Amino acid sequence: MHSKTTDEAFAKRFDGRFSDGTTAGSQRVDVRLSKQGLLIYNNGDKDPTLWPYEKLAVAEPLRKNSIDALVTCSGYAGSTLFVPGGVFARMLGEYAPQLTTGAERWRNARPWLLTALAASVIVGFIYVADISPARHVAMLIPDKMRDSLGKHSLQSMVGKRGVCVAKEGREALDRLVSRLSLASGTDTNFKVTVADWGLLNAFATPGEYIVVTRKLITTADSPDELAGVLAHEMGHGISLHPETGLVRVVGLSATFELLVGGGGGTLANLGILLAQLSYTRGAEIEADEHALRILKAAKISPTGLAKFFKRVSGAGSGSDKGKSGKENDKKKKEAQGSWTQGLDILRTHPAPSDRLERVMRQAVYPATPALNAEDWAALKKICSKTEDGAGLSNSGEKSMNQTQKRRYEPNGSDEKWTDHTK
Amino acid sequence: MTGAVPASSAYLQSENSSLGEPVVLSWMRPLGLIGLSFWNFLARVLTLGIYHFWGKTEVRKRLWSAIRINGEPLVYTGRGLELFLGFLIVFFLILLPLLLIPVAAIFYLGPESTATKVVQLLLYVVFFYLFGVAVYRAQRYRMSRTTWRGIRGQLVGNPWQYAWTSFWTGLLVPLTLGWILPWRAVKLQKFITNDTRIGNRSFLFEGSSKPLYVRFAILWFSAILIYLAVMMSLGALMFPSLQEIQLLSERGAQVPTMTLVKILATVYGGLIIAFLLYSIASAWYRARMINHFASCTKFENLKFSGSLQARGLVYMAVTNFFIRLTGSLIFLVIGIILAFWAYGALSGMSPPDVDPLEWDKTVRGITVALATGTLLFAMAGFVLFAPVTEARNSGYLINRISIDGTAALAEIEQGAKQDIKLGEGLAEAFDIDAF
Repeated sequence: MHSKTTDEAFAKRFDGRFSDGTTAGSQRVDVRLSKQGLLIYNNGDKDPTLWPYEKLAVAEPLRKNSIDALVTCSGYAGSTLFVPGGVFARMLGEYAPQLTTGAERWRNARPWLLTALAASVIVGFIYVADISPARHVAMLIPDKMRDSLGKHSLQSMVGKRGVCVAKEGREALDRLVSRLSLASGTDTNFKVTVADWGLLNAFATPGEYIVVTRKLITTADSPDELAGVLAHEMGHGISLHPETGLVRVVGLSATFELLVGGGGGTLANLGILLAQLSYTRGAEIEADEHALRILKAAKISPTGLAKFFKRVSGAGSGSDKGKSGKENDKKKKEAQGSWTQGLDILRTHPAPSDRLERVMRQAVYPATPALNAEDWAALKKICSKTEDGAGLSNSGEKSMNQTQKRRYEPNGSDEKWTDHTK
Repeated sequence: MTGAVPASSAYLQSENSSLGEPVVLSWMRPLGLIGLSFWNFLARVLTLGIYHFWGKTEVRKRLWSAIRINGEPLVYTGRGLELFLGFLIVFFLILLPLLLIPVAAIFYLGPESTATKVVQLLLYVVFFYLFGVAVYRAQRYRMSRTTWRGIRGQLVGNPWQYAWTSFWTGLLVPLTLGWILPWRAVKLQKFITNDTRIGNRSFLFEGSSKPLYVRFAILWFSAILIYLAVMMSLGALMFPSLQEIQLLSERGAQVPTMTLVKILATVYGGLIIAFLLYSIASAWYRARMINHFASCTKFENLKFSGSLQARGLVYMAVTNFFIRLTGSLIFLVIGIILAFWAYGALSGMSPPDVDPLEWDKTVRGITVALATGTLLFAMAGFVLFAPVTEARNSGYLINRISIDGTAALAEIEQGAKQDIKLGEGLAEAFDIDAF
C-alpha cells in the first residue's frame, strides 16, 4: 500500500524530451514516476518503457534547487531523457537518492578521505616513533654523490661571497679541525671553509663539508667556543643530518615544483636550501651528543660550546641589580644585539634551554685549550685575506684544511703534529 | 538568437524536421556555486589535494549543464578518476624525468658545463613542444566527454601536428616582434575548429587573420606608448628621491625608510597602471579576436557570431579578481581572529610546571604557526571561488555568441567512438586548463 503522497507522485505526468542517442533528434514523451522506476510513454503508448531507479544516472547531481533533470539509463546506451522543471528533479531525488549531490560527493570523496586519514595515521606514527624515512633515503646516497651534493651546496652558499684564506689563520684552523676529526673516531674527512659572511652561523653540508662564517669566528670569545660549534656541526655530518634535511626539503619542494610546472630550481639552489634548513630538536640533541663525545676525546672543555649557546640565545641577559640605569640600558642593548645576532644561528639550530643544561651537566675532565693564543689570534684574522669562492664546486676543497690524516698528539703544554698521510 | 531561455519553451514541444530547425544557444545560470566552492575547498584540504580532480569534474558538470541548445543541456560525462590517473601518468612519465634529467646533468656534467646548458636548453624546447600537445589533448578530452542529446563531440586530429604548428609559430613570435600573433592565433584556431566534430558532422573555420591586424597594430603601438609613458613618468617622479639618495650616500648617511617606501610605491604604482592600461588595450583586441573566430565558424547551415566588447571583458576580469580576492580575505580574517584569540587565551595561562620564558616562547610559536597557516590559506583562498568566476566567464561568453540558420538535427548521427580513457594530465600539469 502506498501513502496518499506517493500515489499523488506516481499519478503525476511530466513533459520530457527523449533522444535515443543515434541522432541529435528528439521526441516529446510523457514521464511518470513509479515504484520500480521511471515510466516513459512515447506518443501515448500504452506500454511504457521502464527505467529502473538503480540503473539511472544524471548529467548533474540532483539538488533541492535543481531546475530540471537529464537522465540516462545504463541499459539504454546513448539514450537521454530531459525533463524540465524542478518538481520532477526533486521527486526523482527522493526515489533515487543515489542521484543526489550529497550521495555523489560522498561516493567520490570517501575513498580519498579514508586514504588521507590512513596517511595521517602513518605520518603520525612515523613522527611519534621517531622514524625518519628521509634519513633512510639519505643513507642510500652514494659517497660520490654526497660529495658532489656537498660541493654544489658549498658553491651556491659561499660562491658569491669570498672565502677566507689568510695563511696563518688557515693553518690554525686546520690544526683544530684535525684535532676534532681524529677525536670523532669515524675516519670522516671533515672539510671546513670559512666564508666571508656577516651572518652568525655555521652549516654542515652533505659530504662532510662545513661552512663557518666570518662573524662566527670574530664573535667567538675563545677557541673552545669555536671548537664546540665545529664539533656540533661534525655531529650533524656524522649523523647525515644535512643529507636527511635535503632529502626531506628537496622531496617536498620538487613535488611542489612539479605540481606547479617548475623545472628543477630547487636543486639548483642547494646551498640556499641548506642555509634555510632548520634541524629538528632530536637532530640537534644528537649533534650535541656527538659534539660532547668529540670534545671529550679531543680533551677540549665543553664549556666553550655551552658558553656559545648561552651567549647567542641571550640567556642570562637580565638586568644587574645595583648598576645604574644607563649601564643597565647599555647591557640591555648589548643583549638585544646579541639576541639579534643569535637569531641567525637559532633559526637554523634551535637551542632550547634543556640542550644548554645537557652540555652544562657534562662531567669535568682534564682539558687543554682548543688552540694556543697565537693560533687563536691568527684564526681571528683569517678573513684578512679572501679569495673568490666561484671555483669551490670544481676544486671541491679550495681553501679547506688538507691535514685530515694528521694525528694530534698532545704532549704536555706543547702540541706536536705527526703527519700520517705520508 | 541569444539570451536566457526558459527550459519549458515552445521548442521543447516541437517535433523534428528533416528540413532543419533553428538552433538556440542559451545560458542557464547555475545555482549553488558558492556552496560548491566551499565544499571543494574543504574536500581538497581533507583529502590532501586529491579531491581536486573530482571537484573539478563537479564544476564542469554544472557549467556544461548551464549551456543549453534548444533548451536542453550539454552533458559532461568525464570522471574525476580519469583526470586523476591522467595526471599521475604524466607526472611520473613526463614531469619527473623532466625534473631529474637537469639534476642528473648538474651532478654528472657539472653546473657550469656547456653540456649541462645544452641539456637544459633541450628540455626547454621539449617543454615548449609538449605545451602544444597538452593544449590539444585537453581540448580533445573535453570534447570526447561532451554530449548533447547523447551525441558525442570529438576532436579527430593529431595532437603532435598541432603541437608542431604551435611550436614553430611560437618560435617566430620574438623574431617578428609579435606581429605573427594574429596570424598564429587564426591558424591554431582553424586547426582546432576543423578537427571538431559533433556526431558525424564537422565544424568548419573559414576566414583569415586580416581583420585582426588593424586592432593588433593599435594594440602593439599602444603597448610601446604605454611603456614609454610609464617609464618617463616613473623617471620624473622618482628623480627627486634618487637625488636625495645620492646626496645621502655621498655624506655616508642612512637613507630614510620613507624615501625607499616612496620609490617602491612609485615603481609598483607605475607597473600596476601600465598593466591596467595594457589590459584594457588587450581586451579591446581580444574581444575582436573572439568575435572574429565566431564569425569564421560554421556548422551545417548554422553561422555563429559574437558581440563581445572590451569593456565587458575588462568588467569581468576586474569583478572576477575581486571575487577571488574575497576568498583570500575570508581566510585572512578568520586566521587573524584565530591568531589573536590564541595569543590572548594562551598568554593569559601560566602552567605551573613550565618555565614562564619557555611558555612565552611556545605561545609565540603557536601564534606564528597560526599566522603562517593563515597566510598559506589566504593564498590558497584565491582559488576558493574559482567555480563562481569560471561560471561568470562562461556565461558572459555564451550570452554573447549567437547562432543563425537552421540544422537538420535528426540527421546528425552518432560518430565513431574514440578510445580516450584518461583525462588531460599534461594540461593539468602545465596549468593551462580552461576550466
